[in-house]
Amino acid sequence: MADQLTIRRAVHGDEAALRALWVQYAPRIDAVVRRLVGDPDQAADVAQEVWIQIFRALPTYRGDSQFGTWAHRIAVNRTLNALRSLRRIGRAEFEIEEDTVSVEHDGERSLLAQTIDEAVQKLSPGARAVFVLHDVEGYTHEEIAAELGITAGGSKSQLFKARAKLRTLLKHLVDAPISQESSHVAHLS
Amino acid sequence: MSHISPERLAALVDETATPEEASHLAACAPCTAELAAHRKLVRLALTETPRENAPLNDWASLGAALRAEGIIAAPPAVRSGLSRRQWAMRIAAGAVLVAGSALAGRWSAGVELPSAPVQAASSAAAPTAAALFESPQAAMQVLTSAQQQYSDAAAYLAAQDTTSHFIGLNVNTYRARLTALDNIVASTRAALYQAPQDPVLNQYYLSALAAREATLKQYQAALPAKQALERY
Repeated sequence: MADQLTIRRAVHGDEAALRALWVQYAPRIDAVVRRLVGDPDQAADVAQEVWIQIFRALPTYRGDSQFGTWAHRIAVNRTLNALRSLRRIGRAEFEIEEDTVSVEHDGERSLLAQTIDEAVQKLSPGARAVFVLHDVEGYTHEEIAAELGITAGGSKSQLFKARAKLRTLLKHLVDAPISQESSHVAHLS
Repeated sequence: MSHISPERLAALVDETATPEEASHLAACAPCTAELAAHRKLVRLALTETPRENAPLNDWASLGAALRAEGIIAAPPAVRSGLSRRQWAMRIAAGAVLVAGSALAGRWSAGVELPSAPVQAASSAAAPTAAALFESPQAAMQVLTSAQQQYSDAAAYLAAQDTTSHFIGLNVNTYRARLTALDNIVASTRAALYQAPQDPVLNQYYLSALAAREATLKQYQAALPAKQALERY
């Protein structure tokens, strides 16, 4: 937890204090930026913008919540804004591909992900944002709706589609040990 | 009823099944397995939450950007063309700081001190302060730098043990000084949480820390040869 003295010094532009906050919180903050953005190079650019925004907003931090929680909110908000400005997310672009369960029949084994992190990167930007915010970061659908400018129902719909696609991409990790399952997937498709 | 769709199964991780869906799940092993897989996926996602990675950037690039934004305090602007009077006042102010520190050190070593000159010099330097800095940020930068220099100098003097020749100092005196200095450090630290940028509090805090370190070394040196200081 960041101590108040460090934060107060950081507010006054003390480089050592700013750096101490960055060292402590960048691993967590940058992780959520990377999950939301996907592309590593773009994620690095966005993370830089995020930290500038966090430090710019530092004088408004009142200590009502943990510094990490406060900074995390700014990070998510700034990242989503950056993605919008990259025209990667918008209302119209929140449509997810309709091939949600088609992977099994494509025969493209390369589409199967080795980790959930890798699988998430294969989702569309909108579906990725909803999944990361809800299932990884613990946001409610109402909070997601407010952040993304969609309805709570739209958030739910995106989440369930994203989960269905991830379930297929991560088949080898999440399959229950029941023999009839493969026939079920074929049946559903 | 036909099998439950993948998206509906994904929803049933969070939502309650309808009676029709519940009865189907009770009788359909494949759908039950699919629901279990979706639940496992969500648990897997939760394990990502605390996962951290190395920062995406280094401090050199972020620091440069923060400097460009003016978020990191800029180094103090060097004023050119100071008048002879301003230079004299600056030197006087520096002399006050040095003299004050030296006198404080002597006081802490138990030596009687004259008191008038410090107060007189302080009041003479005060009116010039506004003319010495271009902004509060510049003044803060100088103060931070001065605090670091003061701390370094105090550490050096402590290493030189310049007060060991004063008479009247023994183990008991050092112990009493350490106790008093600990109280000062605790009080000033608590005060700094309320007013972290207060220069007077900072000065007291740093001075007390440096004096404590010096006294601790003197205390150790004053102990009998076979008696080592384990902790204080």
